[in-house]
Amino acid sequence: MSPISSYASERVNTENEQHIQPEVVQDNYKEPSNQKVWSLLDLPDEVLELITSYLNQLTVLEIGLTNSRMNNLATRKLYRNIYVNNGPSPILIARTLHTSFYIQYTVINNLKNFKQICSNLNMKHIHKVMFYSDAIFQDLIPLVCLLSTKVVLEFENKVSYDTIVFDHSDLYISKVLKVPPVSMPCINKFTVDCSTDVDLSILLYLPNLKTIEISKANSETISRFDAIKDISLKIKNFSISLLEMVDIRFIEKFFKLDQIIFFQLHICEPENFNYIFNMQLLLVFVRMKRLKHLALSNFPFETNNIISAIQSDLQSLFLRFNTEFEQTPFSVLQVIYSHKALARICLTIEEPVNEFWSLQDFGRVYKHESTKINVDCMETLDKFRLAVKHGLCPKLNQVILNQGYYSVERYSDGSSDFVKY
Amino acid sequence: MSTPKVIIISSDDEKFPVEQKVAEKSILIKNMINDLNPDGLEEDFEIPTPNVRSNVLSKVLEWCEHHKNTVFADDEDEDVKKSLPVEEWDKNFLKVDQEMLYEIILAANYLNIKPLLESGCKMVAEMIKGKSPEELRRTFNIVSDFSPEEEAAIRRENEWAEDR
Repeated sequence: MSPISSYASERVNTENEQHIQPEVVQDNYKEPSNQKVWSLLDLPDEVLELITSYLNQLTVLEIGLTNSRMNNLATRKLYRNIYVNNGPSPILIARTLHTSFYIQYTVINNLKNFKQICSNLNMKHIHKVMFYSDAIFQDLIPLVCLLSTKVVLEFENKVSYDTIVFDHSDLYISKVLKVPPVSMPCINKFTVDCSTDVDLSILLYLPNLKTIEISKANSETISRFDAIKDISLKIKNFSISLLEMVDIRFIEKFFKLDQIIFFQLHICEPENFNYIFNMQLLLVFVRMKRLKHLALSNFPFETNNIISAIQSDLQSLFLRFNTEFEQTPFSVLQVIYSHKALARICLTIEEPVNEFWSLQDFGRVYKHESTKINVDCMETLDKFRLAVKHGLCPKLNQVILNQGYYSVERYSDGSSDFVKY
Repeated sequence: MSTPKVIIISSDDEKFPVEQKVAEKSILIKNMINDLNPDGLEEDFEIPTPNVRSNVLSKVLEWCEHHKNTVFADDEDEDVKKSLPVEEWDKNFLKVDQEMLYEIILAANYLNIKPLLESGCKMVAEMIKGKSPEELRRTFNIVSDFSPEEEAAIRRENEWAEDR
Protein backbone atom coordinates (compact mmCIF):
# COMPACT_ATOMS: atom_id res chain seq x y z
CA MET A 1 0.00 0.00 0.00
CA SER A 2 1.36 3.40 -0.88
CA PRO A 3 2.07 5.85 1.93
CA ILE A 4 -0.72 8.09 0.74
CA SER A 5 -3.41 5.47 0.54
CA SER A 6 -2.55 4.02 3.94
CA TYR A 7 -2.75 7.51 5.33
CA ALA A 8 -6.11 8.02 3.70
CA SER A 9 -7.58 4.83 5.08
CA GLU A 10 -6.29 5.70 8.51
CA ARG A 11 -8.10 8.99 8.18
CA VAL A 12 -11.33 7.19 7.47
CA ASN A 13 -11.12 5.50 10.86
CA THR A 14 -10.25 8.61 12.79
CA GLU A 15 -12.81 10.77 11.03
CA ASN A 16 -14.77 13.19 13.19
CA GLU A 17 -12.06 13.73 15.80
CA GLN A 18 -11.41 17.05 14.19
CA HIS A 19 -13.94 17.99 11.58
CA ILE A 20 -12.48 19.55 8.48
CA GLN A 21 -15.72 20.98 7.17
CA PRO A 22 -15.70 24.54 8.51
CA GLU A 23 -19.38 25.25 8.10
CA VAL A 24 -21.01 22.72 10.36
CA VAL A 25 -24.29 23.64 11.87
CA GLN A 26 -25.88 21.56 14.57
CA ASP A 27 -29.18 20.89 12.96
CA ASN A 28 -31.82 18.68 14.47
CA TYR A 29 -30.21 16.06 12.37
CA LYS A 30 -29.78 12.70 14.08
CA GLU A 31 -27.03 10.33 13.11
CA PRO A 32 -28.28 7.25 11.35
CA SER A 33 -28.03 4.16 13.50
CA ASN A 34 -25.53 2.38 11.25
CA GLN A 35 -22.70 4.92 11.47
CA LYS A 36 -21.84 5.00 7.77
CA VAL A 37 -18.77 7.01 6.93
CA TRP A 38 -19.60 9.00 3.84
CA SER A 39 -17.15 9.74 1.09
CA LEU A 40 -17.44 12.04 -1.89
CA LEU A 41 -17.20 8.86 -3.94
CA ASP A 42 -20.61 7.79 -2.67
CA LEU A 43 -22.07 10.25 -5.15
CA PRO A 44 -22.83 8.91 -8.63
CA ASP A 45 -20.74 9.97 -11.64
CA GLU A 46 -23.41 12.28 -13.03
CA VAL A 47 -23.40 14.27 -9.77
CA LEU A 48 -19.61 14.34 -9.54
CA GLU A 49 -19.56 15.51 -13.13
CA LEU A 50 -21.86 18.39 -12.22
CA ILE A 51 -19.57 19.25 -9.30
CA THR A 52 -16.49 19.34 -11.53
CA SER A 53 -18.33 21.65 -13.92
CA TYR A 54 -18.05 24.41 -11.27
CA LEU A 55 -14.27 24.15 -11.05
CA ASN A 56 -11.44 25.68 -13.04
CA GLN A 57 -8.74 23.56 -14.63
CA LEU A 58 -6.23 23.85 -11.77
CA THR A 59 -8.78 22.73 -9.20
CA VAL A 60 -9.89 19.92 -11.49
CA LEU A 61 -6.28 18.76 -11.75
CA GLU A 62 -6.05 18.55 -7.95
CA ILE A 63 -9.24 16.58 -7.52
CA GLY A 64 -8.19 14.28 -10.36
CA LEU A 65 -5.09 13.27 -8.42
CA THR A 66 -7.07 11.92 -5.47
CA ASN A 67 -8.36 8.69 -6.95
CA SER A 68 -8.75 6.88 -10.29
CA ARG A 69 -12.49 7.43 -10.53
CA MET A 70 -12.04 11.14 -9.86
CA ASN A 71 -9.22 11.14 -12.40
CA ASN A 72 -11.52 9.82 -15.13
CA LEU A 73 -14.06 12.50 -14.37
CA ALA A 74 -11.39 15.19 -14.24
CA THR A 75 -10.00 14.11 -17.61
CA ARG A 76 -13.42 14.30 -19.22
CA LYS A 77 -13.90 17.79 -17.84
CA LEU A 78 -10.44 19.03 -18.86
CA TYR A 79 -10.88 17.90 -22.45
CA ARG A 80 -14.46 19.02 -22.92
CA ASN A 81 -14.00 22.69 -23.82
CA ILE A 82 -10.56 23.94 -24.73
CA TYR A 83 -9.37 27.46 -25.31
CA VAL A 84 -6.18 27.61 -27.33
CA ASN A 85 -4.59 30.93 -26.65
CA ASN A 86 -2.56 31.47 -29.78
CA GLY A 87 -2.49 35.20 -29.14
CA PRO A 88 0.48 37.36 -28.24
CA SER A 89 0.39 37.10 -24.46
CA PRO A 90 -0.18 34.03 -22.28
CA ILE A 91 -3.18 33.85 -19.96
CA LEU A 92 -2.27 33.34 -16.34
CA ILE A 93 -4.83 31.27 -14.53
CA ALA A 94 -5.23 32.02 -10.87
CA ARG A 95 -6.00 29.04 -8.69
CA THR A 96 -8.81 30.94 -7.05
CA LEU A 97 -10.39 32.30 -10.20
CA HIS A 98 -13.68 30.54 -10.89
CA THR A 99 -15.44 32.88 -13.30
CA SER A 100 -17.63 31.46 -16.03
CA PHE A 101 -14.86 31.48 -18.63
CA TYR A 102 -12.34 29.66 -16.44
CA ILE A 103 -14.78 27.02 -15.28
CA GLN A 104 -15.94 26.40 -18.81
CA TYR A 105 -12.65 26.26 -20.67
CA THR A 106 -9.32 24.58 -20.16
CA VAL A 107 -6.84 27.17 -21.31
CA ILE A 108 -3.81 26.06 -23.32
CA ASN A 109 -1.22 28.72 -23.87
CA ASN A 110 0.48 27.20 -26.84
CA LEU A 111 -0.55 25.48 -29.99
CA LYS A 112 2.08 22.77 -29.59
CA ASN A 113 0.32 21.44 -26.52
CA PHE A 114 -2.97 21.41 -28.36
CA LYS A 115 -1.52 19.45 -31.26
CA GLN A 116 -0.10 16.99 -28.77
CA ILE A 117 -3.44 16.25 -27.11
CA CYS A 118 -5.13 15.92 -30.47
CA SER A 119 -3.22 12.70 -30.93
CA ASN A 120 -4.16 11.00 -27.68
CA LEU A 121 -7.13 8.84 -26.87
CA ASN A 122 -8.81 11.39 -24.65
CA MET A 123 -9.45 13.64 -27.60
CA LYS A 124 -12.77 11.86 -28.01
CA HIS A 125 -13.96 13.92 -25.04
CA ILE A 126 -13.35 17.20 -26.88
CA HIS A 127 -16.56 19.02 -27.51
CA LYS A 128 -15.50 22.53 -28.34
CA VAL A 129 -12.26 24.28 -29.09
CA MET A 130 -11.95 28.02 -29.09
CA PHE A 131 -8.96 29.85 -30.54
CA TYR A 132 -7.82 33.34 -29.90
CA SER A 133 -7.16 34.02 -33.54
CA ASP A 134 -8.08 32.47 -36.86
CA ALA A 135 -4.62 33.17 -38.30
CA ILE A 136 -3.95 29.45 -38.24
CA PHE A 137 -7.32 28.31 -39.58
CA GLN A 138 -5.77 26.66 -42.60
CA ASP A 139 -3.39 24.57 -40.48
CA LEU A 140 -6.21 23.47 -38.26
CA ILE A 141 -8.54 21.95 -40.78
CA PRO A 142 -6.67 18.64 -41.13
CA LEU A 143 -6.33 18.53 -37.36
CA VAL A 144 -9.99 19.13 -36.75
CA CYS A 145 -10.99 16.54 -39.31
CA LEU A 146 -9.17 14.04 -37.11
CA LEU A 147 -11.42 14.73 -34.19
CA SER A 148 -13.93 11.97 -34.29
CA THR A 149 -17.06 13.52 -32.88
CA LYS A 150 -18.79 16.82 -33.33
CA VAL A 151 -16.38 19.52 -32.41
CA VAL A 152 -17.13 23.20 -32.39
CA LEU A 153 -14.27 25.52 -33.23
CA GLU A 154 -14.51 29.16 -32.42
CA PHE A 155 -12.13 31.99 -33.15
CA GLU A 156 -12.23 34.99 -30.97
CA ASN A 157 -10.34 37.76 -32.69
CA LYS A 158 -9.38 40.58 -30.46
CA VAL A 159 -11.12 43.41 -32.23
CA SER A 160 -14.35 42.09 -33.64
CA TYR A 161 -15.16 38.83 -31.88
CA ASP A 162 -15.64 37.15 -35.21
CA THR A 163 -16.97 33.70 -34.89
CA ILE A 164 -16.68 30.66 -37.01
CA VAL A 165 -18.30 27.67 -35.46
CA PHE A 166 -16.90 24.66 -37.14
CA ASP A 167 -19.07 21.87 -35.93
CA HIS A 168 -16.97 19.19 -37.59
CA SER A 169 -19.44 18.66 -40.36
CA ASP A 170 -21.52 21.77 -39.69
CA LEU A 171 -20.37 25.27 -40.31
CA TYR A 172 -22.11 28.17 -38.72
CA ILE A 173 -20.86 31.61 -39.61
CA SER A 174 -21.82 34.99 -38.37
CA LYS A 175 -20.02 38.28 -38.65
CA VAL A 176 -17.04 36.87 -40.46
CA LEU A 177 -15.85 39.27 -43.08
CA LYS A 178 -13.16 37.26 -44.75
CA VAL A 179 -13.06 33.51 -44.92
CA PRO A 180 -9.76 31.87 -45.84
CA PRO A 181 -9.93 30.43 -49.36
CA VAL A 182 -9.34 26.82 -48.51
CA SER A 183 -11.43 23.86 -49.51
CA MET A 184 -13.34 22.25 -46.64
CA PRO A 185 -14.60 18.92 -47.88
CA CYS A 186 -15.64 17.76 -44.43
CA ILE A 187 -18.37 20.35 -44.08
CA ASN A 188 -21.83 19.21 -45.07
CA LYS A 189 -24.01 21.76 -43.37
CA PHE A 190 -23.74 25.51 -43.59
CA THR A 191 -25.84 27.93 -41.56
CA VAL A 192 -25.65 31.57 -42.32
CA ASP A 193 -27.22 34.60 -40.72
CA CYS A 194 -27.64 37.09 -43.56
CA SER A 195 -28.22 40.08 -41.33
CA THR A 196 -24.45 40.14 -40.81
CA ASP A 197 -21.74 40.85 -43.36
CA VAL A 198 -20.95 37.30 -44.20
CA ASP A 199 -18.80 36.62 -47.19
CA LEU A 200 -20.88 34.11 -49.13
CA SER A 201 -17.97 33.18 -51.36
CA ILE A 202 -17.23 30.54 -48.74
CA LEU A 203 -19.75 28.45 -50.66
CA LEU A 204 -17.07 27.99 -53.29
CA TYR A 205 -14.98 26.08 -50.77
CA LEU A 206 -17.59 23.64 -49.54
CA PRO A 207 -17.57 20.92 -52.18
CA ASN A 208 -19.59 18.41 -50.19
CA LEU A 209 -22.29 20.66 -48.84
CA LYS A 210 -25.63 18.89 -48.38
CA THR A 211 -27.60 21.28 -46.21
CA ILE A 212 -27.89 25.02 -46.22
CA GLU A 213 -29.86 27.17 -43.80
CA ILE A 214 -30.13 30.80 -44.81
CA SER A 215 -31.75 33.00 -42.25
CA LYS A 216 -32.96 36.59 -42.48
CA ALA A 217 -32.46 36.88 -46.21
CA ASN A 218 -33.43 40.05 -48.08
CA SER A 219 -32.71 41.60 -51.47
CA GLU A 220 -29.19 42.41 -50.34
CA THR A 221 -28.54 38.74 -49.75
CA ILE A 222 -29.44 38.05 -53.34
CA SER A 223 -27.03 40.66 -54.63
CA ARG A 224 -24.37 39.05 -52.47
CA PHE A 225 -25.15 35.72 -54.08
CA ASP A 226 -24.87 37.41 -57.45
CA ALA A 227 -21.40 38.62 -56.54
CA ILE A 228 -20.11 35.07 -56.27
CA LYS A 229 -18.84 33.51 -59.42
CA ASP A 230 -20.85 30.74 -61.04
CA ILE A 231 -21.83 28.07 -58.68
CA SER A 232 -24.45 25.42 -58.96
CA LEU A 233 -24.62 23.59 -55.70
CA LYS A 234 -26.14 20.18 -55.27
CA ILE A 235 -27.96 20.75 -52.03
CA LYS A 236 -30.32 18.19 -50.56
CA ASN A 237 -31.76 20.23 -47.74
CA PHE A 238 -32.59 23.85 -48.30
CA SER A 239 -34.00 26.22 -45.67
CA ILE A 240 -34.54 29.91 -46.00
CA SER A 241 -36.22 32.59 -43.96
CA LEU A 242 -37.14 35.79 -45.72
CA LEU A 243 -37.25 39.23 -44.17
CA GLU A 244 -38.81 40.80 -47.24
CA MET A 245 -40.30 39.85 -50.55
CA VAL A 246 -37.62 38.83 -53.03
CA ASP A 247 -37.71 37.04 -56.33
CA ILE A 248 -37.41 33.54 -54.93
CA ARG A 249 -36.37 32.22 -58.34
CA PHE A 250 -32.83 33.35 -57.49
CA ILE A 251 -32.24 29.99 -55.83
CA GLU A 252 -32.50 28.32 -59.20
CA LYS A 253 -29.34 30.14 -60.28
CA PHE A 254 -27.20 28.80 -57.45
CA PHE A 255 -28.73 25.48 -56.49
CA LYS A 256 -29.74 22.52 -58.55
CA LEU A 257 -33.46 22.43 -57.86
CA ASP A 258 -33.90 18.85 -58.96
CA GLN A 259 -31.53 17.73 -56.19
CA ILE A 260 -33.50 19.25 -53.36
CA ILE A 261 -35.29 16.75 -51.16
CA PHE A 262 -36.19 18.97 -48.22
CA PHE A 263 -37.39 22.51 -48.65
CA GLN A 264 -38.32 24.92 -45.92
CA LEU A 265 -39.56 28.45 -46.21
CA HIS A 266 -40.26 30.80 -43.34
CA ILE A 267 -41.72 34.22 -43.95
CA CYS A 268 -40.95 36.83 -41.33
CA GLU A 269 -43.52 39.49 -42.16
CA PRO A 270 -46.26 37.83 -44.22
CA GLU A 271 -48.31 41.01 -44.62
CA ASN A 272 -45.60 42.43 -46.88
CA PHE A 273 -45.81 39.60 -49.41
CA ASN A 274 -48.09 39.67 -52.41
CA TYR A 275 -49.32 37.19 -55.02
CA ILE A 276 -46.31 37.83 -57.28
CA PHE A 277 -44.22 36.00 -54.73
CA ASN A 278 -46.72 33.18 -54.77
CA MET A 279 -46.41 32.84 -58.56
CA GLN A 280 -42.62 32.89 -58.47
CA LEU A 281 -42.58 30.25 -55.77
CA LEU A 282 -44.90 28.06 -57.83
CA LEU A 283 -42.40 28.16 -60.68
CA VAL A 284 -39.66 27.05 -58.34
CA PHE A 285 -41.72 24.20 -56.91
CA VAL A 286 -42.58 22.87 -60.34
CA ARG A 287 -38.90 22.31 -60.95
CA MET A 288 -38.14 20.53 -57.70
CA LYS A 289 -38.68 17.10 -59.11
CA ARG A 290 -37.39 15.13 -56.16
CA LEU A 291 -38.89 17.07 -53.29
CA LYS A 292 -40.02 14.76 -50.48
CA HIS A 293 -40.35 16.99 -47.45
CA LEU A 294 -41.91 20.42 -47.42
CA ALA A 295 -42.17 22.89 -44.56
CA LEU A 296 -43.86 26.25 -44.80
CA SER A 297 -44.31 28.63 -41.94
CA ASN A 298 -46.23 31.89 -41.91
CA PHE A 299 -47.04 31.30 -45.55
CA PRO A 300 -49.67 33.94 -46.37
CA PHE A 301 -51.31 32.30 -49.38
CA GLU A 302 -53.47 29.35 -50.21
CA THR A 303 -51.19 26.37 -49.69
CA ASN A 304 -53.23 23.99 -51.83
CA ASN A 305 -52.00 25.47 -55.12
CA ILE A 306 -48.41 25.11 -54.05
CA ILE A 307 -48.82 21.60 -52.81
CA SER A 308 -50.68 20.47 -55.91
CA ALA A 309 -48.00 22.03 -58.13
CA ILE A 310 -45.36 19.72 -56.69
CA GLN A 311 -44.73 16.96 -59.19
CA SER A 312 -42.98 14.55 -56.90
CA ASP A 313 -44.62 12.49 -54.19
CA LEU A 314 -44.35 14.30 -50.88
CA GLN A 315 -43.67 12.16 -47.83
CA SER A 316 -43.95 14.75 -45.15
CA LEU A 317 -45.63 18.06 -44.88
CA PHE A 318 -45.20 20.62 -42.15
CA LEU A 319 -47.40 23.68 -42.13
CA ARG A 320 -47.24 26.25 -39.41
CA PHE A 321 -49.78 29.07 -39.41
CA ASN A 322 -49.72 32.29 -37.58
CA THR A 323 -52.87 33.04 -35.59
CA GLU A 324 -52.64 36.73 -36.33
CA PHE A 325 -52.57 36.32 -40.02
CA GLU A 326 -55.78 35.38 -41.73
CA GLN A 327 -55.31 32.05 -43.31
CA THR A 328 -57.18 30.46 -46.13
CA PRO A 329 -58.24 27.03 -44.98
CA PHE A 330 -56.15 24.08 -45.87
CA SER A 331 -57.88 21.45 -47.92
CA VAL A 332 -56.97 18.12 -46.50
CA LEU A 333 -58.52 16.03 -49.19
CA GLN A 334 -56.85 17.83 -52.05
CA VAL A 335 -53.46 17.27 -50.51
CA ILE A 336 -54.15 13.64 -49.85
CA TYR A 337 -55.30 13.08 -53.40
CA SER A 338 -52.24 14.63 -54.94
CA HIS A 339 -49.66 13.05 -52.62
CA LYS A 340 -50.45 9.44 -51.89
CA ALA A 341 -47.08 8.75 -50.30
CA LEU A 342 -47.60 11.21 -47.43
CA ALA A 343 -46.56 9.57 -44.22
CA ARG A 344 -46.35 12.51 -41.85
CA ILE A 345 -48.41 15.62 -41.65
CA CYS A 346 -47.87 18.32 -39.10
CA LEU A 347 -50.15 21.33 -38.82
CA THR A 348 -49.66 23.82 -36.07
CA ILE A 349 -51.37 27.06 -35.35
CA GLU A 350 -49.32 29.24 -33.09
CA GLU A 351 -49.04 32.68 -31.69
CA PRO A 352 -47.14 34.92 -34.13
CA VAL A 353 -44.18 32.84 -35.15
CA ASN A 354 -40.99 34.76 -35.44
CA GLU A 355 -38.21 32.29 -35.39
CA PHE A 356 -37.03 30.03 -38.01
CA TRP A 357 -37.36 26.30 -37.52
CA SER A 358 -34.03 24.66 -37.87
CA LEU A 359 -33.83 21.15 -39.20
CA GLN A 360 -33.46 19.76 -35.70
CA ASP A 361 -36.67 21.51 -34.67
CA PHE A 362 -38.69 19.16 -36.79
CA GLY A 363 -37.59 16.41 -34.48
CA ARG A 364 -38.61 18.56 -31.57
CA VAL A 365 -42.10 19.12 -32.96
CA TYR A 366 -42.91 15.55 -32.04
CA LYS A 367 -41.89 16.02 -28.47
CA HIS A 368 -44.38 18.74 -27.65
CA GLU A 369 -46.57 17.62 -24.82
CA SER A 370 -49.43 20.04 -25.00
CA THR A 371 -52.65 18.43 -26.17
CA LYS A 372 -54.72 21.51 -26.85
CA ILE A 373 -56.61 21.31 -30.09
CA ASN A 374 -58.95 24.01 -31.21
CA VAL A 375 -62.25 23.39 -32.94
CA ASP A 376 -61.05 24.20 -36.46
CA CYS A 377 -58.38 21.64 -36.05
CA MET A 378 -60.78 19.07 -34.68
CA GLU A 379 -62.72 19.33 -37.93
CA THR A 380 -59.54 18.92 -39.88
CA LEU A 381 -58.66 15.92 -37.81
CA ASP A 382 -62.03 14.32 -38.56
CA LYS A 383 -61.37 14.79 -42.24
CA PHE A 384 -58.07 12.98 -41.89
CA ARG A 385 -59.73 10.24 -39.95
CA LEU A 386 -62.32 9.82 -42.66
CA ALA A 387 -59.68 9.81 -45.36
CA VAL A 388 -57.71 7.14 -43.55
CA LYS A 389 -60.82 5.01 -43.04
CA HIS A 390 -61.49 5.14 -46.77
CA GLY A 391 -57.96 4.09 -47.55
CA LEU A 392 -57.13 7.38 -49.26
CA CYS A 393 -53.74 7.78 -47.66
CA PRO A 394 -52.22 4.31 -47.41
CA LYS A 395 -48.87 5.46 -46.06
CA LEU A 396 -49.97 8.03 -43.51
CA ASN A 397 -48.78 7.10 -40.06
CA GLN A 398 -48.44 10.33 -38.17
CA VAL A 399 -50.61 13.38 -37.87
CA ILE A 400 -49.74 16.25 -35.62
CA LEU A 401 -52.33 18.92 -35.16
CA ASN A 402 -51.51 21.95 -33.12
CA GLN A 403 -49.17 19.85 -31.06
CA GLY A 404 -51.66 17.06 -30.47
CA TYR A 405 -49.98 13.91 -31.61
CA TYR A 406 -51.77 11.04 -33.39
CA SER A 407 -50.59 7.91 -34.96
CA VAL A 408 -52.55 5.91 -37.44
CA GLU A 409 -53.23 2.34 -36.43
CA ARG A 410 -54.13 -0.12 -39.12
CA TYR A 411 -55.92 -3.26 -38.02
CA SER A 412 -55.86 -6.69 -39.58
CA ASP A 413 -59.49 -6.48 -40.69
CA GLY A 414 -58.53 -3.60 -42.96
CA SER A 415 -60.01 -0.92 -40.75
CA SER A 416 -57.92 1.80 -39.21
CA ASP A 417 -58.17 4.58 -36.70
CA PHE A 418 -56.31 7.39 -35.03
CA VAL A 419 -54.69 6.78 -31.72
CA LYS A 420 -53.89 9.81 -29.63
CA TYR A 421 -50.60 9.94 -27.77
CA MET B 1 -63.66 18.95 0.56
CA SER B 2 -60.17 20.29 1.10
CA THR B 3 -57.65 20.35 -1.73
CA PRO B 4 -56.01 16.97 -2.20
CA LYS B 5 -52.51 16.66 -0.82
CA VAL B 6 -49.51 14.78 -2.04
CA ILE B 7 -48.24 12.44 0.65
CA ILE B 8 -44.60 11.59 0.28
CA ILE B 9 -43.44 8.54 2.23
CA SER B 10 -39.84 8.25 3.34
CA SER B 11 -37.80 5.03 3.41
CA ASP B 12 -38.58 4.70 7.13
CA ASP B 13 -42.32 5.01 6.46
CA GLU B 14 -42.86 8.51 7.71
CA LYS B 15 -45.59 10.35 5.84
CA PHE B 16 -45.17 13.94 4.71
CA PRO B 17 -48.37 15.52 3.43
CA VAL B 18 -47.59 18.59 1.29
CA GLU B 19 -49.33 20.87 -1.17
CA GLN B 20 -49.20 19.63 -4.74
CA LYS B 21 -47.32 22.77 -5.75
CA VAL B 22 -44.59 22.03 -3.22
CA ALA B 23 -44.27 18.37 -4.21
CA GLU B 24 -44.07 19.31 -7.87
CA LYS B 25 -40.73 21.04 -7.36
CA SER B 26 -39.63 17.46 -7.90
CA ILE B 27 -39.94 16.76 -11.60
CA LEU B 28 -40.07 13.04 -10.83
CA ILE B 29 -43.11 13.54 -8.60
CA LYS B 30 -44.65 16.05 -10.98
CA ASN B 31 -44.45 13.61 -13.88
CA MET B 32 -45.76 10.81 -11.71
CA ILE B 33 -48.77 12.89 -10.66
CA ASN B 34 -49.47 13.98 -14.23
CA ASP B 35 -49.08 10.51 -15.69
CA LEU B 36 -51.35 8.84 -13.17
CA ASN B 37 -53.88 11.65 -12.81
CA PRO B 38 -54.21 13.27 -16.22
CA ASP B 39 -57.36 15.08 -15.11
CA GLY B 40 -55.86 16.53 -11.95
CA LEU B 41 -55.74 15.24 -8.39
CA GLU B 42 -59.08 14.27 -6.96
CA GLU B 43 -57.90 12.70 -3.74
CA ASP B 44 -54.73 12.50 -1.68
CA PHE B 45 -51.92 10.92 -3.63
CA GLU B 46 -49.25 8.80 -1.94
CA ILE B 47 -45.75 8.55 -3.35
CA PRO B 48 -43.11 6.35 -1.71
CA THR B 49 -39.49 7.46 -1.95
CA PRO B 50 -37.79 4.24 -0.89
CA ASN B 51 -34.26 5.65 -0.85
CA VAL B 52 -34.80 8.91 1.04
CA ARG B 53 -34.71 8.87 4.85
CA SER B 54 -37.25 10.94 6.77
CA ASN B 55 -34.83 13.56 8.11
CA VAL B 56 -33.43 14.07 4.60
CA LEU B 57 -36.89 14.17 3.07
CA SER B 58 -38.04 16.76 5.59
CA LYS B 59 -35.03 18.93 4.69
CA VAL B 60 -35.72 18.56 0.97
CA LEU B 61 -39.39 19.43 1.48
CA GLU B 62 -38.41 22.44 3.56
CA TRP B 63 -36.46 23.63 0.53
CA CYS B 64 -39.40 22.94 -1.79
CA GLU B 65 -41.75 24.81 0.54
CA HIS B 66 -39.42 27.81 0.66
CA HIS B 67 -39.06 27.85 -3.10
CA LYS B 68 -42.64 26.99 -3.98
CA ASN B 69 -43.13 30.37 -5.66
CA THR B 70 -39.61 30.74 -7.02
CA VAL B 71 -39.42 30.68 -10.77
CA PHE B 72 -36.16 29.10 -11.78
CA ALA B 73 -34.85 30.27 -15.12
CA ASP B 74 -34.63 27.55 -17.70
CA ASP B 75 -31.32 26.34 -19.01
CA GLU B 76 -30.63 29.71 -20.56
CA ASP B 77 -27.35 31.34 -19.75
CA GLU B 78 -26.13 28.11 -18.26
CA ASP B 79 -22.53 29.32 -18.38
CA VAL B 80 -23.21 32.49 -16.48
CA LYS B 81 -25.39 30.67 -13.96
CA LYS B 82 -22.59 28.23 -13.23
CA SER B 83 -20.22 30.91 -12.02
CA LEU B 84 -22.76 32.59 -9.74
CA PRO B 85 -22.42 31.94 -6.02
CA VAL B 86 -25.01 29.83 -4.23
CA GLU B 87 -28.09 31.88 -3.44
CA GLU B 88 -27.99 33.17 0.15
CA TRP B 89 -30.98 31.26 1.54
CA ASP B 90 -29.83 28.00 -0.06
CA LYS B 91 -26.35 28.58 1.28
CA ASN B 92 -27.57 28.85 4.85
CA PHE B 93 -29.98 26.01 4.32
CA LEU B 94 -27.16 23.77 3.10
CA LYS B 95 -24.84 24.55 6.00
CA VAL B 96 -25.22 21.02 7.30
CA ASP B 97 -22.66 18.32 7.87
CA GLN B 98 -21.20 16.56 4.90
CA GLU B 99 -23.29 13.40 5.26
CA MET B 100 -26.49 15.41 5.24
CA LEU B 101 -25.28 17.45 2.28
CA TYR B 102 -24.53 14.28 0.30
CA GLU B 103 -27.89 12.80 1.19
CA ILE B 104 -29.68 15.98 0.13
CA ILE B 105 -27.77 15.93 -3.17
CA LEU B 106 -28.61 12.28 -3.74
CA ALA B 107 -32.27 12.93 -2.95
CA ALA B 108 -32.37 15.99 -5.23
CA ASN B 109 -30.77 13.92 -7.98
CA TYR B 110 -33.23 11.06 -7.51
CA LEU B 111 -36.28 13.30 -7.19
CA ASN B 112 -35.05 15.46 -10.07
CA ILE B 113 -35.01 18.83 -8.31
CA LYS B 114 -32.43 20.54 -10.47
CA PRO B 115 -32.00 23.87 -8.63
CA LEU B 116 -31.45 22.08 -5.31
CA LEU B 117 -29.05 19.63 -6.92
CA GLU B 118 -27.12 22.54 -8.40
CA SER B 119 -26.95 24.43 -5.12
CA GLY B 120 -25.76 21.28 -3.34
CA CYS B 121 -23.11 20.56 -5.94
CA LYS B 122 -21.93 24.17 -5.82
CA MET B 123 -21.51 23.85 -2.06
CA VAL B 124 -19.34 20.78 -2.57
CA ALA B 125 -17.40 22.58 -5.31
CA GLU B 126 -16.76 25.44 -2.87
CA MET B 127 -15.32 22.96 -0.40
CA ILE B 128 -13.04 21.50 -3.08
CA LYS B 129 -11.54 24.82 -4.16
CA GLY B 130 -8.06 25.68 -2.95
CA LYS B 131 -7.16 22.26 -1.50
CA SER B 132 -4.27 19.99 -2.37
CA PRO B 133 -4.98 16.38 -3.37
CA GLU B 134 -4.06 15.25 0.13
CA GLU B 135 -6.31 17.77 1.81
CA LEU B 136 -9.07 16.74 -0.56
CA ARG B 137 -8.68 13.07 0.35
CA ARG B 138 -8.91 13.95 4.03
CA THR B 139 -11.87 16.28 3.65
CA PHE B 140 -13.90 13.97 1.48
CA ASN B 141 -12.78 10.55 2.73
CA ILE B 142 -11.38 9.61 -0.63
CA VAL B 143 -9.16 6.56 -0.58
CA SER B 144 -6.39 6.80 -3.11
CA ASP B 145 -5.97 3.78 -5.35
CA PHE B 146 -2.83 5.14 -7.02
CA SER B 147 0.72 4.00 -6.53
CA PRO B 148 3.22 6.88 -6.34
CA GLU B 149 4.31 5.91 -9.87
CA GLU B 150 0.78 6.10 -11.18
CA GLU B 151 0.26 9.44 -9.53
CA ALA B 152 3.43 10.76 -11.15
CA ALA B 153 2.27 9.43 -14.52
CA ILE B 154 -1.02 11.27 -14.19
CA ARG B 155 0.77 14.48 -13.32
CA ARG B 156 2.87 14.08 -16.46
CA GLU B 157 -0.16 13.29 -18.62
CA ASN B 158 -1.93 16.40 -17.44
CA GLU B 159 0.95 18.79 -17.86
CA TRP B 160 -0.70 20.31 -20.92
CA ALA B 161 -3.51 21.63 -18.76
CA GLU B 162 -1.24 22.91 -16.03
CA ASP B 163 0.61 25.24 -18.32
CA ARG B 164 0.42 28.74 -16.85
